[in-house]
Amino acid sequence: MRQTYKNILMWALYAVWFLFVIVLQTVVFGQMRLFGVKLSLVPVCIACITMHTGSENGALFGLISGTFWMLAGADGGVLYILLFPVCGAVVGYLCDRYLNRTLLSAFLMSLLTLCVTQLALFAFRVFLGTTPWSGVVSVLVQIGLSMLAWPVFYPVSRVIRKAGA
Amino acid sequence: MKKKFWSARLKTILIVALVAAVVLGVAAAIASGTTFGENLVGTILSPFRAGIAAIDRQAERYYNYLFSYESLQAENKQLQKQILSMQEDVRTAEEYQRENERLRTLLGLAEEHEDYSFVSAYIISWESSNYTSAFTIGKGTNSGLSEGMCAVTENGQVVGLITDVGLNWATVTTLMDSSLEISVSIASSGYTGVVQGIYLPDGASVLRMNYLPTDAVVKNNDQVVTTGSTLYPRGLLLGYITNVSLDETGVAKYATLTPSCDLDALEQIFIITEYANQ
Repeated sequence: MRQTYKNILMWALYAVWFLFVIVLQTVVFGQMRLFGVKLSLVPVCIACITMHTGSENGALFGLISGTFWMLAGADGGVLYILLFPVCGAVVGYLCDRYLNRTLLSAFLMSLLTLCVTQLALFAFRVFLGTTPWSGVVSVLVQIGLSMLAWPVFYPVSRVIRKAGA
Repeated sequence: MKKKFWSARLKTILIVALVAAVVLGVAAAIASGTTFGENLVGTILSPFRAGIAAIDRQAERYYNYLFSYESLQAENKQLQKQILSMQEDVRTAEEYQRENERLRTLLGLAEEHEDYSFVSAYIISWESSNYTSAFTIGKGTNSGLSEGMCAVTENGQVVGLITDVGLNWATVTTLMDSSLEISVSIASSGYTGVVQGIYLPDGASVLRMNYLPTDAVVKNNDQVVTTGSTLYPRGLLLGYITNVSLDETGVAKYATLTPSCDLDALEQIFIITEYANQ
């Protein structure tokens, strides 16, 4: 019973943390452009959280957060409903099976999630004809700058995970 | 034994994700306005966004204040407390003054166009994508706003149109966004065209006025104003011409414009809720 309460607390804290990142992303960083691009913090948050959840729970968290992020008005929203569960499942599986949960793993998983989500979104826009191929440089700059969030997000997610242990 | 990646539960979740993406994508495409889900999430997020936006504004004011504080401290330590208090008063007064100036200017606009009705709103969040230019305001249908209404500055400069609206929030897509097309004319010569935002590969965006006749005589700094439609009144200032060239087809000209207002510096905007459509 005690473990159940701990699990509920952990997921509630993850939800609050995710909500905080969404608000931070849209309110503070939504207006700010660094080197012509906006930071993309949400995929980093997803990666750092699903590192600790395993593949199935990671996919479920990805599905719920992707749906919420889409309904919150994210550009390319429907893609997130597909990409976040896939990323959550893969990240959760890799960390369960092949990687130790360290800061370096968090770096790799954040990079993987950012590359998958941002490049897929970019490819979709190129397919629709709304962005030229040359815009890939901006996407790479965006990925690089967004990685700055990983040293902050990983410890927070780890502390929350410990609350449920 | 280690778990396999493709477990039955994972497959189910991914199938649900696929179905949800298709259903929500189709719902968003065919829905005429904001969907129930978007309205619900927007309504939940709106107070948080408004709170963080207020904290953000306050933090920015403190940050700006710190620079003057350091010089004041060096100048006279004894008056520190008094200065702190006075500075706070000044900050508050400046905020009221800025708002007052905006409202005073708006009053002038309202007197000039008696048929206009305005609702003022503060910006509470910005779209985080590189490919869209939009922001959310902290007022929605409960303040009489609806989709398609025009957002302007206190000087009557066009900012954009409301594209999504919820109970206590609304999304304004700015004129820099490529999805928005606004019918305009050049104030001095009367040539008409359509203005659209274009995103450049380096992340910047420009305004482009298309469909100008090839023989159009256009000068730099000519004012471009709206021609009026069911969505926005005529005569609102949109931007100034900076360059004119022949388009890709060679049968029409296009002009690049600079927006009349600084969109990045916006804090408060005004929505035209009613006007006489002449």
